[in-house]
Amino acid sequence: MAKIVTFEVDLATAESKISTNGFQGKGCEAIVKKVLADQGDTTSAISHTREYNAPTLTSNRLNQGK
Amino acid sequence: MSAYAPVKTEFNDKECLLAALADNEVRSYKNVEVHEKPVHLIGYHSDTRPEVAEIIIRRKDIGNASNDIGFAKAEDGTYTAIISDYDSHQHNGKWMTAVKASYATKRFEKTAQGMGLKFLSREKVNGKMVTKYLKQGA
Repeated sequence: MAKIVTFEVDLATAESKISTNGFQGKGCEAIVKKVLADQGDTTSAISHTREYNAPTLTSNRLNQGK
Repeated sequence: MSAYAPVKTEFNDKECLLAALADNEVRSYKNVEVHEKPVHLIGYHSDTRPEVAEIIIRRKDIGNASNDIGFAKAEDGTYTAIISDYDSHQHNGKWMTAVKASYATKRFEKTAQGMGLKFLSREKVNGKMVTKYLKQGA
């Protein structure tokens, strides 16, 4: 069964999230894990950049239901 | 002389960073130097500054009174932005956020390609860049 994976980035804050068929975090855990793994350090990947107080480029944990 | 200040970022993919610098919503730079080893930045008076970087936006591409802007690779693989006090007025948090938003899109695109997701569409909706992919056999 095909699914639509949607990646959204807020252009004002750079906050991003991933959803599948309109449901955040549902069915796209593997993608999220891959994105986080590509960042190297998972901890830093979900932290905030202090200097600009802006969210990082990966999905936040709230959106993944973690 | 306008002092440089390092700003740590979480960018760790050179290709995506270059793509984000070349294509973002605030100020884009397509003509960016990339060096295997760090080279010195050049200041407003054509003076060689002590700061070094692997990725450099030359001042001629920024503005007449500008200094080079650099991105220096740290030991952990992330890039530190090196921006002068003068240039930080235009290359501020808004610019960095725009670069970050573009970087996130490029980075996810790279990940999606690696996972076999098929690109469907990209459009700006209510201040968000929305990209859709098709995941087969899920």
